Amino acid sequence: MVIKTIPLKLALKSLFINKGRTFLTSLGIMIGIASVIMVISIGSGAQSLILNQIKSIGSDLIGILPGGQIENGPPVAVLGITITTLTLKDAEALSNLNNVPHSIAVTPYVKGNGIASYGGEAIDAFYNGVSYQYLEVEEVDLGNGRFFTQNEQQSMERVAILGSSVANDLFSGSDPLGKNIRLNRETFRVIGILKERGTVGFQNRDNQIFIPVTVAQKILLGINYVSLIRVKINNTQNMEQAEQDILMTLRERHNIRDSKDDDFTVARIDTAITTLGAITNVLKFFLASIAAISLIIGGIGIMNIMLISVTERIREIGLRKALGAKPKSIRNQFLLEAMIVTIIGGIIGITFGSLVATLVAFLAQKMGYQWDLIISPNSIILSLMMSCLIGIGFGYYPAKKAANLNPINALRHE
Amino acid sequence: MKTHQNIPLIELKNVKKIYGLEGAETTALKDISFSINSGEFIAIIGHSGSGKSTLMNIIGFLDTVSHGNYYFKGENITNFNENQLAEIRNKEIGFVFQSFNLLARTTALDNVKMPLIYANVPESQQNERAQKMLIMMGLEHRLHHMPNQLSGGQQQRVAISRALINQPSLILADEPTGNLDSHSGDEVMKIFNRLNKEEGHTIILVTHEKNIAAHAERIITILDGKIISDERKS
Repeated sequence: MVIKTIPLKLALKSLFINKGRTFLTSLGIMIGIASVIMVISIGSGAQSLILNQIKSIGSDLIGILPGGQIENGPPVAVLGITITTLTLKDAEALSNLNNVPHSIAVTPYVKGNGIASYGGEAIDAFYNGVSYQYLEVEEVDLGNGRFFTQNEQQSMERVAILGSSVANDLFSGSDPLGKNIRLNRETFRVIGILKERGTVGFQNRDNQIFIPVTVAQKILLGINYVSLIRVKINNTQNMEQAEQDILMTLRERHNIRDSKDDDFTVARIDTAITTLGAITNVLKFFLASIAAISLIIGGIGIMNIMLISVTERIREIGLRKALGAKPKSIRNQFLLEAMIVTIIGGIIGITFGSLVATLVAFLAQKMGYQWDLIISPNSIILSLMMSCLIGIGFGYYPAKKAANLNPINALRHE
Repeated sequence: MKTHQNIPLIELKNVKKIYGLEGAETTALKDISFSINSGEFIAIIGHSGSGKSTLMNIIGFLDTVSHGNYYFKGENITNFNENQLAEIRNKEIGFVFQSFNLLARTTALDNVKMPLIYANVPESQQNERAQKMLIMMGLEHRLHHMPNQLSGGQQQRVAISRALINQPSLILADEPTGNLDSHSGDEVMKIFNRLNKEEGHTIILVTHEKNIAAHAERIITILDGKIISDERKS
């Protein structure tokens, strides 16, 4: 054991004597490891943001968009073209348990914007024409009052439920319930206010007004179609079956025999999450590989400085050999110096990278994003092993060179 | 002191040293034979290029012979490998160099300890022995000084302490006064005389200065790789 600890002590002493050089050498590794940790953690955080955004819609939802799909491409509806193939009757058919037994709530969506006003206040507002089952589909809580009923929807009552920030902006503190607001020259009675939902993802969901879909279609917009239907399924295990039921129902209603002719697109949130997770994983891996390149550069930096250090210390090496150092103990000393430098650099890099990742997560959360702080133990263990390997890999050549120096030439070196 | 009286400490038999590749060889040493007994104080003298440095490197196990045999304490070490040579250098030889060769930014104490580290001496003993040695050299107030805080003479005394620390059989001094002023040089030569006379150390002094060589009892003169004279003081 005594023999093994000798080079370690010598290496530590030598590193301490040359503090400045030790720091500069490990700087490359520090930056490399810090960037790997940062990229992986910030990548995971961004991934969590995207997935949380989708999950917040609900993973037990099936969405139906108007228009077919072009060759595995996106639904035509998202390209900004108005397609009128989905109707309120389609939504009603999907809520019929004979057609889709696993459906528990259905809402169509018709969207528009305009000016909402009360008294002297007027604001730009987004309104959503939805069904009476909207709260259930999106799992939203009412803060005050009530949502509209099936009857009110059918009889096209002009009632409105306000998002929390709309209520604040229009009524600035006073109770909006029972008051009449103006929305695009029509009068609506306020019957409910939603709880604050916060900014989820990139969308503020509190500045919206919810009215019966029938009113939005017939009175405000003068259209027959809807732009989206969402179906909530009773159990995530029934998603597959429910998707088939929805496809069958809509094809029958639209007289479609071949799936190629579909004039609608069915999208499941749960598969979207899986796909997005896979895509973002690839992105994360790609970014981490770029960061890993800086580690290799750091390793080459270590090799360079170790080689310079061997040349600089040729006389020292010669002297050590003259005093009885075996080639192996010279080699081990230099190898250990390289390893200690990289491990110290690695630990500082991990600390620094984690701090930056924590700061980014903190700021993102402060700004209202659902950003999770993820620093996986695996990435830390991996970086430590990497820095160890870099130390051995890039330190071996200079160490071997030092060990094989001829003591006579080394002592004579000026 | 360590060897039996009847066996010479060092015995070289027909030693040749050839450098370079075949076809472009230079012969540094041609057929050298001599022996040295324990307790002798010898000066090897010669001009630069005479082969005296090569001879010193061979005696100090830093270099190997091309032909002939080298017996140390009666043992033929001609075919020792690098590790064996490192070990025997550590145990048997104390080097003193012209340019001191102390480690920079390292205290006198730590410099003197170095051979003990490679000899696997327990750390508890290292400090004690190194301190004792430095005190013997009159450096009790310089234990924790760095080499650049010491005068040339003091640095050479640290180097001599380092050479003696492992109780070697032979002290090999290569132009030990070459980098010193005459006063410090005299002081160092006094130390060598005392080590030889009072403590019985075997000393080989390599130099090109006749007045320095005059301190030794036996002077071996080398010219062009050959011993041209081997004289003892009467």
